[in-house]
Amino acid sequence: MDWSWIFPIAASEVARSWDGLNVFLFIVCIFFFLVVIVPMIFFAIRYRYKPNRKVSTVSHNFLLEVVWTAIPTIILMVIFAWGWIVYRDMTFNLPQNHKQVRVVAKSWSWTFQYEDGRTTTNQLFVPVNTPVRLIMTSEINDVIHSFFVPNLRIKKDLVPGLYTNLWFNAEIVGQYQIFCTEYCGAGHSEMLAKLIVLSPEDYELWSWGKKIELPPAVGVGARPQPPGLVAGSRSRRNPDSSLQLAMLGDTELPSANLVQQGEKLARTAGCVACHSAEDRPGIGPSYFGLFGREVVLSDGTRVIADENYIRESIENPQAKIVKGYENVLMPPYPGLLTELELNALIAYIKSLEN
Amino acid sequence: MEHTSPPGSNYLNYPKGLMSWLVTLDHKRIGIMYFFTVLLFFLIGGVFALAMRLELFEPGGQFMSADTYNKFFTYHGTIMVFLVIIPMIPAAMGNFILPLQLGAKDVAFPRLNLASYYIFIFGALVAFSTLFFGGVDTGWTFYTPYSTKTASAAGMMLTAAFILGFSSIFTGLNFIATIHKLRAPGQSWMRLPLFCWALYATSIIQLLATPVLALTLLLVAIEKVSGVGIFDPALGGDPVLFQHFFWFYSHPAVYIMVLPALGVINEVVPVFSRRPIFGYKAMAAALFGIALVAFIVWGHHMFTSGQTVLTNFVFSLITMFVAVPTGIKVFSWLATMYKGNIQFFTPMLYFYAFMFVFVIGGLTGVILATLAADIHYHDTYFVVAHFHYVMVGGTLMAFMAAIHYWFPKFFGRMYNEAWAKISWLVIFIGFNLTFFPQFFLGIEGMPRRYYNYLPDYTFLNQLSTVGSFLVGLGFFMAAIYLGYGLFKGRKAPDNPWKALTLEWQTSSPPPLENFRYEPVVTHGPYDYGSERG
Repeated sequence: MDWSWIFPIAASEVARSWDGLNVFLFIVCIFFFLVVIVPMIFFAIRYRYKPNRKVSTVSHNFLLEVVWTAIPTIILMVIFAWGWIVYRDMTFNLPQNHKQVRVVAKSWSWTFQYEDGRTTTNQLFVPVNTPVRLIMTSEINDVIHSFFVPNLRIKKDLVPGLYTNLWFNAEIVGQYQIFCTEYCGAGHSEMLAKLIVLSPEDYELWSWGKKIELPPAVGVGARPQPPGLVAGSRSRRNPDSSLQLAMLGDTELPSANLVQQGEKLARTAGCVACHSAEDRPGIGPSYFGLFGREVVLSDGTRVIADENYIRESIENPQAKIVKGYENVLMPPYPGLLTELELNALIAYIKSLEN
Repeated sequence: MEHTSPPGSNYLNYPKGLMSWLVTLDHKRIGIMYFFTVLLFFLIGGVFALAMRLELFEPGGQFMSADTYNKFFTYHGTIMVFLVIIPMIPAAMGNFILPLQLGAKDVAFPRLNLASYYIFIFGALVAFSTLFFGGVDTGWTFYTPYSTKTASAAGMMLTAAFILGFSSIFTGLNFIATIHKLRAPGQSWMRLPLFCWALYATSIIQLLATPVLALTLLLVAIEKVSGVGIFDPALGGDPVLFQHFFWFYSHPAVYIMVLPALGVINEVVPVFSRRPIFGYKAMAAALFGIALVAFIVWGHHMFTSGQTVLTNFVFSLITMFVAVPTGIKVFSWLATMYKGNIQFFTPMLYFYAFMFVFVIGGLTGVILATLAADIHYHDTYFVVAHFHYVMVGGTLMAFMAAIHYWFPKFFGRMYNEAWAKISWLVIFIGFNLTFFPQFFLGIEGMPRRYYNYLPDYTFLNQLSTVGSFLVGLGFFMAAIYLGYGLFKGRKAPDNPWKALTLEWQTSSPPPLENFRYEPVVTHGPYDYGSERG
């Protein structure tokens, strides 16, 4: 069904199932609204004041009270379950073969870091019909932001010092509005970006750094800006974000991709002195096969080595000590690497996954 | 207060003199002082709101900067939450009415009551003085790390909230002791008016949840002073922890705002339907059900915060149960009208407005509790519309019902019924015109706290702005006819609504000691339709 007359155009399967859920919710809400309001108005008319009207003195009815407790409870449980199912799909159903893009927010712009080592600002380029996973954080000295694409019905906060995840699979070529939805100060409403979903051909060109024609805006934000608002002094809108150009020129590709950048960092920052990339222990635990594995800590607890674990082990190594390395004191490295460098280093460690 | 006041005198004219008001221990006078203080703050908070709506009439800057706009919504939210809605019904209406409904001479701890008022004033002064220290631009939620990094006076505002919390705790403590110890002879628990039950449930939340706010502030202060990382990620702290602490207080605080409103409605419906309230026990139990659930649903404010999927699952599930006791109350009010004899005085009209608006607020609350749905709606205008439907729609409509219902008892005079009805209609239409379009803004994805917005959203924002000025007009009218009634209104009889609860069994306005003779309760509070009602 097409629900775009009430909801923003749904650009993914998850968005469509969200629409289905919300149509159900709206119907339930309208139904219960009428269940309350229609009798209320009817009673007001039917039992309006008349002198000497005989009133009922019934003050309870057990069966009735059970009914209006039990029926809403059952319906609420259905609502909860449906809401959970759609949420589970939008959270977990990420296919194995997906692209990864790292997102770093700061007040008030978005940086997108791709696997080929490129970064873009306020423009996120992805291919159509391809699952994309976003690994997101805010700069460590910045504040919380939130990544929201109305046409995909997805939203997640970007918290300094923490990696959060989102995934989507956009099915319609076009440019979509990205909002910041966590209040972040004077530029909050200007912290906008575009999700640019390219056709396979254009994406191929873009990935070679060739010039492409940008697709048209779709859904929220597709209405053209009145000229006075873009150019005039009344709006402080970031020129990057309101993106009027239809062409994107040639771009230079970086000499090293993300993993290569990370490998270089591991050498220049001195990580490799203690952490080897091969399957042999050094002074510290090896990077080999680390990512995604269950790590046993010195107190016996087990953690999965994900992005957040690796980040913590770099910035605050004493927080979680791997079993067998109790006597090794790695110095903490908070703020030594930028967010983009941390991303590259983690991508490198991740590439050594079994 | 062992002495009795002279015959014919009332609490307004005896004792006399400014000092007799400022250091009064009389719960009625303290209630009246709260009442006018809260109305003043409501006016200030409302002016901030109207200025924001004017700014949002078109995209882009109209007449204020983004910084100013951010301060305006912060002051609007902070004033309305901490200085208006939280004290509005318990501290103003409850202080006046609770002891009267119990047949008591005063609250259990009159000095503590006076202290709570002055702490409230002190907290309010601290809150307003932030204006002279750069203002506050964090929003009323004070999320870290923004609130610890911004150059504004956020710390001072948090201090104000800390101080105001004590006022709230004192009032809650006082009410619980009063309800337990000072009920009139014959007033068993099952003869307690439901407004008292509502204040009881509210007081429990005030006592248990408010200290967490103080604790949170203390942790923020420790972090600032000693540099120990608690909430600041740059120091190794966890900013999401602040959100947990904040909502552990602030979600129950939402019910501090709503429960007393439900109590007011419980009084109004049976009186004007001339019929016993339906399901008294279920009504009282539902109040406590809501109060209990209030403590374990805070995480539904954080579905997109990065908390674990399991946490989201649990909080969504529990939140659904808020709707069950709320539904019981709504259906019971309906059943109370059934085969009644309904009189359309202004308090009853506000009950109708309340039902219309509160049901929409409640049902959209269910939508927001639904996990997947909330992901899209979170931090959009859908949420803004929802909580205004509950807070303004629910609490403010109930407060207006309470003002009109108890006005004769407060001041011994009547307001003009015709003007009251016109003003009611303007407020009701204006309110819905303001906030109903905001649901659609949220569906279309417009984030909240946006100074500037996409041209896609212009039309709905303009509807909303027009509505907000209608609301302003409605309240302006109310101020005029209520103010007129206060001084020039027709003298009110002792019991104009022929109500059965105790506050109506004494003179209007009541004498200093409330009752000339000790009242004895021989029947339930809502035994209408029998020979009594």
